[in-house]
Amino acid sequence: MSDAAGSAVDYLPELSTLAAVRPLTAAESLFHLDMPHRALGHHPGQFVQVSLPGIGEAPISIASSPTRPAGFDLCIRRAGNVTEAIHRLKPGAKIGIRGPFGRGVPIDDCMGRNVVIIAGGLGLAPLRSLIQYITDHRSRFKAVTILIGARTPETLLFPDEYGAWRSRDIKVEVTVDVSKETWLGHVGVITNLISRIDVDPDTTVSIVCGPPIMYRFVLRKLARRNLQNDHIYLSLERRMKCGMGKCGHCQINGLYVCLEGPVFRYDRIAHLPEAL
Amino acid sequence: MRLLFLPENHVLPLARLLAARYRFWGPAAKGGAFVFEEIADVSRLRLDYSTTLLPPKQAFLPPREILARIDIETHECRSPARPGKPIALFGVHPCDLHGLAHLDLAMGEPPADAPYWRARKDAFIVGLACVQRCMPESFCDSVESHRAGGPFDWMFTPVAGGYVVELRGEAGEREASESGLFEVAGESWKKNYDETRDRIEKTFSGRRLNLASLSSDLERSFQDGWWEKLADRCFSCGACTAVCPTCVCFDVQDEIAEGCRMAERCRSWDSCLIRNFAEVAGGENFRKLRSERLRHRMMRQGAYLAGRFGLPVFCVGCGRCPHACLGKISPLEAFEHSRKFPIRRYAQRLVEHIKNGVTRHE
Amino acid sequence: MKKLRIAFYSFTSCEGCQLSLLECEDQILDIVGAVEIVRFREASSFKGGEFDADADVSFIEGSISTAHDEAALQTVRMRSKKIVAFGACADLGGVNAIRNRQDAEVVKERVYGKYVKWIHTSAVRPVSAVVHVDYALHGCPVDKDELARFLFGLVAGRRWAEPVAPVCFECKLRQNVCIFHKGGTCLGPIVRGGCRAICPAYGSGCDGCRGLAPDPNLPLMRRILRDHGLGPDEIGRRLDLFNASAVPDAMRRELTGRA
Repeated sequence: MSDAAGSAVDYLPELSTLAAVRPLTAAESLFHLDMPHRALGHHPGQFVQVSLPGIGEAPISIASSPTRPAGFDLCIRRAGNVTEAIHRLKPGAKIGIRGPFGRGVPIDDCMGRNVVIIAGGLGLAPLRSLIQYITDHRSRFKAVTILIGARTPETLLFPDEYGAWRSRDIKVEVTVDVSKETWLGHVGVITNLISRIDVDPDTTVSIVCGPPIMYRFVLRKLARRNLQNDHIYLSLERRMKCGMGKCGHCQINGLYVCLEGPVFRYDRIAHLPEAL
Repeated sequence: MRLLFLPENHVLPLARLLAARYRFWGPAAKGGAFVFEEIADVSRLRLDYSTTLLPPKQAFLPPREILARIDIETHECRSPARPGKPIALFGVHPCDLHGLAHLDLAMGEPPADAPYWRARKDAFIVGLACVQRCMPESFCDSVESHRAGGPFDWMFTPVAGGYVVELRGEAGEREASESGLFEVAGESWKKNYDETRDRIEKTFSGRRLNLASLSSDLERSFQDGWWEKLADRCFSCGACTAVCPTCVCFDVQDEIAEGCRMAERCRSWDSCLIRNFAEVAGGENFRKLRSERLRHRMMRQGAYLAGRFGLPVFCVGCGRCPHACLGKISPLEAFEHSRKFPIRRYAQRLVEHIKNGVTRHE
Repeated sequence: MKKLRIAFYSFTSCEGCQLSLLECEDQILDIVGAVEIVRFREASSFKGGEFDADADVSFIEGSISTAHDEAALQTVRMRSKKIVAFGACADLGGVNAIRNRQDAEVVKERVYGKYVKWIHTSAVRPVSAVVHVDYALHGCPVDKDELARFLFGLVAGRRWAEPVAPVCFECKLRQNVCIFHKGGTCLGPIVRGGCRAICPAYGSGCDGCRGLAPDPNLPLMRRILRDHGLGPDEIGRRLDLFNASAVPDAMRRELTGRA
């Protein structure tokens, strides 16, 4: 008991400053935040709780790599009270931060292997952290492929960065569900892209993040490419409220997404009926 | 184990002594029932109580509390200080002692919850043995929480003319010797004590669960259609979790205070039964159905948290939830039913499920 | 910073919900510090036109039961950025809607006697049946603390989150003895909370002034009420007190057990 009392953690946010805002789509913007007193010290795939006093807190995954100096990025979609209020902020504004929380992508398991990153919609935001990490340490990874899906060309995230990723010897394939005539890329669901790439099941790991509906389709396709469940990582969305495995909101069967996730190795959750 | 004797007429003087040093909580009567609350006038103490509407959990995890006070202009924030004196809980029944032990595990798992431990630290806890069943719905014996256990400093067992008190730990010894109200337990008291303990064992001898297999039985029954049938009797109102001594789920909301100068980040008890509990900002609800939410609660109590903390079960059988439930749903019923879900059917379902993850939309 | 302009308008009602703002005694100075009240007939000496103010948020109290009400409400909607259905009458039709289930002429005759030919009323409707409603504050009357939180939330720029948990949940937190255990009957398990179970706290079963909670288990409620001696007619009357017109027929049938 005394141990718990001694090392207990409070729910107090630390102050960060909004350094820059970059509009990405109609609903999403990229917010660059600086912490005055420390580096965030996160791993790709982890999340923070952002808050504004009087509005509340919301869990947001970190969209930049810890290898990038000075601050961190959050790609935020206007979806609730907190995110809408953050979209109204101007540079210089203060934002409360708790975290980072959870377990991110196990980088060690990706090093020396082929990496296939599969991102649907807003799922690219947390994966951008991993992508930046890879571009900053490109030699530690073998072939890297990024598959990106979005509803329309207009809702694609970070399209201006694909060129830089490609220049680091990364294959980037993009598809949209619906397009206008001006779109020259692929049209169709993201699973179509999986059939188009080379997958060596022994040396490949895949990291997947997207809307809940996407996972089953993608997993089916990866299974067809003979990728084993223990070579697949999924980043799952739930309602993380406390970030400390207490409030119960993010629970998937017996797991707390905020402690054991949000990135899970698929074989460890395949048996959980609530996971997908 | 050191035993002392406390004569019946020393109980109130003892309570008064504790009330001077601690914020004193105990059972008191309210509207035909009992509540466990902070009591200023210790003569309201009712050690003859059956059970309380809410468990003593709220002493450490109040239904609503401020986690942080934040200045809206400067964003400067602090956690509110607890009132100086530690808390004393007087007369906690064994089920609730076990409940407190479970709370300590849930709130102590790293990262431990600071607001809880600020209230919990240095708390003085006095247990009180049950010699009779408090209500027909209780099933403490089936989950083996009818005996003294959990974090007590003193454990009172009623005997003729007073209580035999088991002391535990440094605080228990210190408070007992400083009070000067205890007597050395003589041979006759000890005999009386043993008899009472035998009587307790006889009274609470209904074992209806196989605790060794409970959690695996329950997890196996996950896909059983029976949960939907059970949910016909569920309002999904959250009364069960509200009265539960081991439920810790909470919501966090900001409130504005002090003329719009301060924000108070408040947490209040929430319930996994409430419809939007697992809903995310985008609108997806991961437990849309009443039956899914009801099953989740039973799984938390019987399997998930038990497994997490290496216990056979996370429910203490206090009987409050079946008593509060208008559909008369009891964890005991769910736990018992889980044994009936055959292993063969489970294995089949599991294989189907894992295959579905990758093949259903072929 | 420009203050939020709020207005209070009253239609068919007892005007008791408006009073809850005045009852926010210890918070009233904070409230008027944060908002500008542009119309509030019950509490102001303003002598100008009644429905001619532009407001950020208009609180509509009362149900709509005359052509005049309807026209005035349309005006208010046009001049207001947000409309709040304020209290049970505006939100559900409320007590007034009881008469929708009776013969309109008979009711008028009984209430107005020889003056009945001067009275032109229509069926009672909630505000949302006439204009688009942005928010609802539930209850008969509305809860003053909820009103204060609502106002402060608006000022802070936070969207209002409707209470979702039924009355039962809050009733347990308040350590009330269950009304059913005391031999009474209560709609608490199926009614939207947020009232902190005030009626059960004072020994009276819930009558549903805040409307039904989302996804209520109506067949179970019917069985329990039946076991406690309430037949279909009695359940119907209980529901009608505030929800005579607020519950879709199919759900009403499920609850009362009568076609």
